[in-house]
Amino acid sequence: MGVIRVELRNVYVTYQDVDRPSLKNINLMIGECKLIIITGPNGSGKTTLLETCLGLIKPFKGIVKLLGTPTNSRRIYDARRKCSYLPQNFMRSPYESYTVKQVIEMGLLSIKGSMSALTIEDSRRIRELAGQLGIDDLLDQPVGRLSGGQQQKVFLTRALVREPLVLFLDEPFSSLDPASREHVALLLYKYVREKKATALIVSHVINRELSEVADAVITMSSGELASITGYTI
Amino acid sequence: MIEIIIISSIIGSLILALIGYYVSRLGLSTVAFSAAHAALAGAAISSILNSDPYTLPTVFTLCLGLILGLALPRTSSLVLNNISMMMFSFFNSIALLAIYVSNISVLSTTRIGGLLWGSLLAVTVDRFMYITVLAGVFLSFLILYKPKLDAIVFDKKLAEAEGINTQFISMVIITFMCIAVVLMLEVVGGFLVFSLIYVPYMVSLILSQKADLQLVITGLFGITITPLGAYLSLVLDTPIGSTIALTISISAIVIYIVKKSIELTRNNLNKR
Repeated sequence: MGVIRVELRNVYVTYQDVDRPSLKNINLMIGECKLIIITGPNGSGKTTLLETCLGLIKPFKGIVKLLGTPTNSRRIYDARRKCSYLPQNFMRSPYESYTVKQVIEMGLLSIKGSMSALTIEDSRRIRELAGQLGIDDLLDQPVGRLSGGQQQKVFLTRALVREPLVLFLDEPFSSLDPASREHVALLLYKYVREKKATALIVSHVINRELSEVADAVITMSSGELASITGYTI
Repeated sequence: MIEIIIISSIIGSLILALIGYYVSRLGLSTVAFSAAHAALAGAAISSILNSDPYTLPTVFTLCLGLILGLALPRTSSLVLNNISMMMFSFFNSIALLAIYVSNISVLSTTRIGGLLWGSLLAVTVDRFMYITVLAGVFLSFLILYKPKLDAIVFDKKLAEAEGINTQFISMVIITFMCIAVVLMLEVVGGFLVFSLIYVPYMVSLILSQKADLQLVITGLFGITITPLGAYLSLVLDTPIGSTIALTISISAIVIYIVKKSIELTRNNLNKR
């Protein structure tokens, strides 16, 4: 399997004031150069699983490691800097005043430290990725004025420009048209293969584009891993 | 003395306006409100004890900042704002009770008057120095952390997921706000100090849709209109806090009317 990027051992997660655990007895190890789809019905724990892997939600039982770092350790910030995340609720209000370029550059800040540290190479990469996703002519627009699909592409560009070791993408195709879905799926597949990265993609619908590029499909049901098909984990 | 009053109002309003921009964008608007009243409670007790005007207000506001800062990652901004408003009522009660139990005639004293609606006499050389030092430290922080602050303001959860310690930076901003409120409290008054925090940001929203420009407008509005209010208070011999708050509120309303009039005229011309 090579290097283990994400590891969950006997993990239970529960939200405050909720009796039933949101995640139950999750055991998972995901290595490098893998594109994993996490699917399941609404409320099955897909997003909770993703956020638990990132350490945004702490388990009440079990161990979660991201890039070898326990998520309850202070060093988790260092591990997160090597990861990218695309949240499910990405839509901004029409009054959001940051421009597309600023939003993408923010993705580099936790790695670079300050805006002045951005290099010409960073700017070139931003332009190139934005071009690949068809938003290069929107870079100076306030992000709130863009459509849902365009905003999703901005967040995808931000996630990829960081050149992460692990990509956590929560419903990254939800607002995209069929042509864009296919293009993004291929882009993610190429990224994972070329950079030996790992991608965990939450999607409640598995379409043709996704099933063609996935190494494994994890199906969740009521907070448990119902089935794993494909790559042996 | 006039120079110190004007310069203090410029520096103080700059810090409060810039802090207000970030506090408002972080969805923590009510924190400024409760911080002002925590400082008011501290100042009311210090005036009864006849102690210095900085220690107790600072302790009270920093305690509040600590409580809210620790609650910040564990709850939503909606709940946090409700906790903040509860703390506002709590500290306001302490302030009013402290003033009441001390001596009823104390209400007419300059010190208590300054606490409630501001006083020119509160602008002392030591306060001027504290405000200047705070401005230096805050602007240095802003230069170093602005990109991270922007990332948090844009999407706190995403910033956290990308490895930015959002709790630390939010706590620092709340701490700066608490100290700035303490320093400006007796100048502008406990009931009016938040007008320096909220109104400049609101004006920036009226005038621009670009984030960086909004920050510049917020600062510029603060440093031009607040000293104008301070100057008018000197000329007209009116209470400084009320005059500043009234000047910035009227300016904001005028700016809004002018902006809307220009937009309306432009739309009519385009229709023709």
